[in-house]
Amino acid sequence: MKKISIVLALMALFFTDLALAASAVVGSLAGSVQVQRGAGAPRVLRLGDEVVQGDTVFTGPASSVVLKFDDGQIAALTANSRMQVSAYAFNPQARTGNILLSLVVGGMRAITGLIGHNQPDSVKFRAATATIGIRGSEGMIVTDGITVAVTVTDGAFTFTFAGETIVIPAGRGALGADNRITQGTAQQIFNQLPVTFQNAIGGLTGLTSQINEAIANTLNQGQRPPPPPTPGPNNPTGPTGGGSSSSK
Amino acid sequence: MAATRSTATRARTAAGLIDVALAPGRLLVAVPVVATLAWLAVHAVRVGEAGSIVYDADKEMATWAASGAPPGPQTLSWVEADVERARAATPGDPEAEELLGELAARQIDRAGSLDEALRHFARAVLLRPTSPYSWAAIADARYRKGDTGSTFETALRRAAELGPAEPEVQRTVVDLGLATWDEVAPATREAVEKTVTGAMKRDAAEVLQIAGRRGRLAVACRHLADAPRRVDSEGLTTCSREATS
Repeated sequence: MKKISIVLALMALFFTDLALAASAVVGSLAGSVQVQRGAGAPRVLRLGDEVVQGDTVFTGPASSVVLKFDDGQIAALTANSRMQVSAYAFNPQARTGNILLSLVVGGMRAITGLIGHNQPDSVKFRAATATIGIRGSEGMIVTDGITVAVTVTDGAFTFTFAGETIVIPAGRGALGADNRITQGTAQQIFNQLPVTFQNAIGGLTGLTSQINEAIANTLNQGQRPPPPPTPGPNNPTGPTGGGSSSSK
Repeated sequence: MAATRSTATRARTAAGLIDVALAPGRLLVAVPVVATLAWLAVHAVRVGEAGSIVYDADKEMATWAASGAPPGPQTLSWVEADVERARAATPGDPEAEELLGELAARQIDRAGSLDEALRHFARAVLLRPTSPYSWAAIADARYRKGDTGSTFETALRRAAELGPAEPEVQRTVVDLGLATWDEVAPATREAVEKTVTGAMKRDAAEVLQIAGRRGRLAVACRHLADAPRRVDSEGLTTCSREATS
């Protein structure tokens, strides 16, 4: 009975986890960036490190990071930002999955990947109380935890704030503040923003070369860092080791 | 004739007396021997059973690594309970300690899970100091904890020294070594670079991939000559691009 339940559990794991085994890789990084995983304390994030669902990424002053997800989605954070990967799943065979990135504070530039192209409704961003959906491929989101500004570079974003939903096409933007949405061209919205927001957008605009570097660093790669060694009887411990006789 | 019979009877009687006299001595020897053999048999069965549990658990955990599929909490729980049972049966088994460490390291939502993992890996290293896998696991757990100080470096160096030809150890050493390249001591960099050389001979494309992700292509590319026949055109292009950049 136990064996049957184990087999069933393994089968269930196999099928469900096809979509669960997904992550992002740090493709570019400058300054001080940290990640917090699970119940652990925040630790330094380095180039090439893996970021998975549940992780929260922090950038310090004069810092930035570009994350490249398995499906090609890019999330670039400017200085003094905090973002959680609330959900990320990707099935490379079906090229489907879902993404929910929650920007708690700071600025994020998002460029959609395969999930965004194939299932735009499965890609969502949260910033303060706003929810941003995608119908295109690139935009910027800035928040201080209360006010939210969005500008769209390519395609269109949906922006839900204070119970209202609008579509923001390329070249335009929206500002969610005081329980209402203000729309305009990207430049008009930019002009209305406080200096901290303007600085964040300036920082995000300046991340283009880092984004290109991130794409180059992870181009044609499995992206996922190698798994840690699995010690145990299935792993010989080498000529000097006292490993088990059973080997792979 | 009567005298002969009498002599024979006396002799049999004497032998019987001697047998009886020796019996307690024989018992004194036989009882501990039988008890020892019985204990050894029971112990062998327990060790065998524990070994089988550890082997099954390791195979199960290998499926997680192969599929990249994270196990559910229930799966983790029963595998952990099994390995704990095996460890209780054979407290000196480093493999059980290693597996318990790996299981703890996976449970990131549990407070102190990496510390618990490190305690198991440290015990495994005490029991089998020559296992490069245990040292690599210590380096990995320390890195994930954000502690890349002297203990991390020592573990990385020991893994590199003890497992120069072990593919999984090579991957960990190259990955973590290149990640911390600017931060580690020259001796650690030297050990990492030696591992890079060995890994380039085995699978240059894989090393170039890791090095590219870590932004350290230059380190891998300077060992391109070590594996000239194993590098495909893509690898050569990657390195020539790195050389010109």
